[in-house]
Amino acid sequence: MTTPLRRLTAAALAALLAGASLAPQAFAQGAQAPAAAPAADGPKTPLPAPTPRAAQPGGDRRAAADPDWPCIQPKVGALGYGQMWSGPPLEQALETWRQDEAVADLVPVIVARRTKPEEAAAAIDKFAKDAGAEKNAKLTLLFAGAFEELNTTRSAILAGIERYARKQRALSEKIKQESLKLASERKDMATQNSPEFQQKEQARDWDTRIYDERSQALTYVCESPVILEQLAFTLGREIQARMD
Amino acid sequence: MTTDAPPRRPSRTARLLSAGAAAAALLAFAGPASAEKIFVSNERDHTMSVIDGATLKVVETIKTGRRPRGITASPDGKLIYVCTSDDNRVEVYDSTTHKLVKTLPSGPDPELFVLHPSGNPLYIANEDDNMVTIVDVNTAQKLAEVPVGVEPEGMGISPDGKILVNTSETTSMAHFIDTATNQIVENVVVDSRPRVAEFRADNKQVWVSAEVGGTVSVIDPATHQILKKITFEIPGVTAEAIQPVGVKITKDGKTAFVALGPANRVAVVDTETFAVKKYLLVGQRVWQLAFSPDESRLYTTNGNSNDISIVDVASDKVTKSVTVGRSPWGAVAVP
Repeated sequence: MTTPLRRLTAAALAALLAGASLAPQAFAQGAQAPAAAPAADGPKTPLPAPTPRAAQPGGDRRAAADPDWPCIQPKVGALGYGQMWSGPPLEQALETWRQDEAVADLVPVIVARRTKPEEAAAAIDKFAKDAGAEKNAKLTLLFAGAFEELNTTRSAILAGIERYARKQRALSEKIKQESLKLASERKDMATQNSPEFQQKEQARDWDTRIYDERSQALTYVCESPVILEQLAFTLGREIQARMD
Repeated sequence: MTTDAPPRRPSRTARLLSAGAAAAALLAFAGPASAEKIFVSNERDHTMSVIDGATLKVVETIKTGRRPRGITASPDGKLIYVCTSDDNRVEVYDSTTHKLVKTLPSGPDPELFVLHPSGNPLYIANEDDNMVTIVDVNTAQKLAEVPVGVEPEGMGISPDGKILVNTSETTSMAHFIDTATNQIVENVVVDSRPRVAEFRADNKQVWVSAEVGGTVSVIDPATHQILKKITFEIPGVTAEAIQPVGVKITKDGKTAFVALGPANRVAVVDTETFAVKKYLLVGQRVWQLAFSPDESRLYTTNGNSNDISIVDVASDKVTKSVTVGRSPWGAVAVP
């Protein structure tokens, strides 16, 4: 008797899992959606049924949701230099900046988090002055170096955040299993008071605490890629302001 | 443990400084009220920055309701309207005294709105309940609600006030609404996550930006046909970072400016050939745009660098950036 119901549930579940591609069909099978019926003199193109899962034109341009990305901030992969640089193409400068001694010396200073913005600005000022006639070319190399260093650090942080998220997921699964096991073993007072049971309970509580604290730390960790992107942009602005 | 300075001294200095700033502000207001002012909503600070158009300095930071986003001015420039999204209302400020004059009902989570060219009514997109709410700004009464697609956001009105265009982010449509009947006359499918609708002054084009789709659809309001889908390409910028949001078109109808979000660029587009003439580097996550009253300058709100950029419209050059509050969202300039 319950078979049809179960089959329906399975089908609904499949549609849910398949997401966008199956959702419109699911609606077509259902009762008429109220918004879909156009009035006689209404719009030629009706409003679609209220389906947030409907496939959207151009929607595939956005990267698929990444289960390993735990931050509220959208995941932005590698930065593009054009987001902070309106000067000439940087491809060559990205290859050669390390060969220039003055550039190679200054880059680690200006990208360091401990360097204050005004200190970085003063250092870039002096660098521009020292470069003389070669100012524009040298400043281009300087930005290429700063951009590459920050982008590399940022990518490493992104990978770290994902590793962190995977560990958290594994830990949450462990807590779940521990809790289920404890629940099944919690039969009577005697068992609950046994040292063995209490030890297990304590282990679960510790894991939960670690999980919670790591979750809170994540808020700060997630800010790091944004802070590095802001620094790259600020340096780009400072450097370009000194170019002719 | 000793500290370098007694704890009281800085606060006294700060008080003196702020008193000085207040006096300077009072003096500024005593002068002729002809200078341009730019109002910027700061989404994360729950404030509005007021910038003097002549000095390009922030003269006051007004505390607003929570999460101020959409911002516009009455046609005479005397009133500033702000959507305070998390307080579910529209706040109205006097552009001279910077005081809150009144609040208007808005429906839940108002994000963006547009005033009828006559100054009344106000059409508000309610992101959370798939409605456009129409409010009389004089009586503060809700006049009507128009059901639209999911997550309505962009709002544009034709220069004659007859057609309202609302865009819905999730449904990816531009809804053309007859303002006489408050009925949808047509829905135009555009690319993913449409954000802003902007009419050209001659009523022959509506520009609809699609943030995720990365395009701008130019629609003929008479036939509802898409005349052109504009795409953007910038060397050194990934395609995903190009997210069109704010659109403004000059009064002569010749040039459109399109804010490209995390690409940190504003595209300058010819509205006849649809060719992109330039990509101006402004600030981080450029969101909305506003012209100065004489259209000599364009202001861009840069949500991640917490500043506005000033573009000289005649030369298409970025001349300056002014730091405002956190996450500046929208801007409006009044004479």
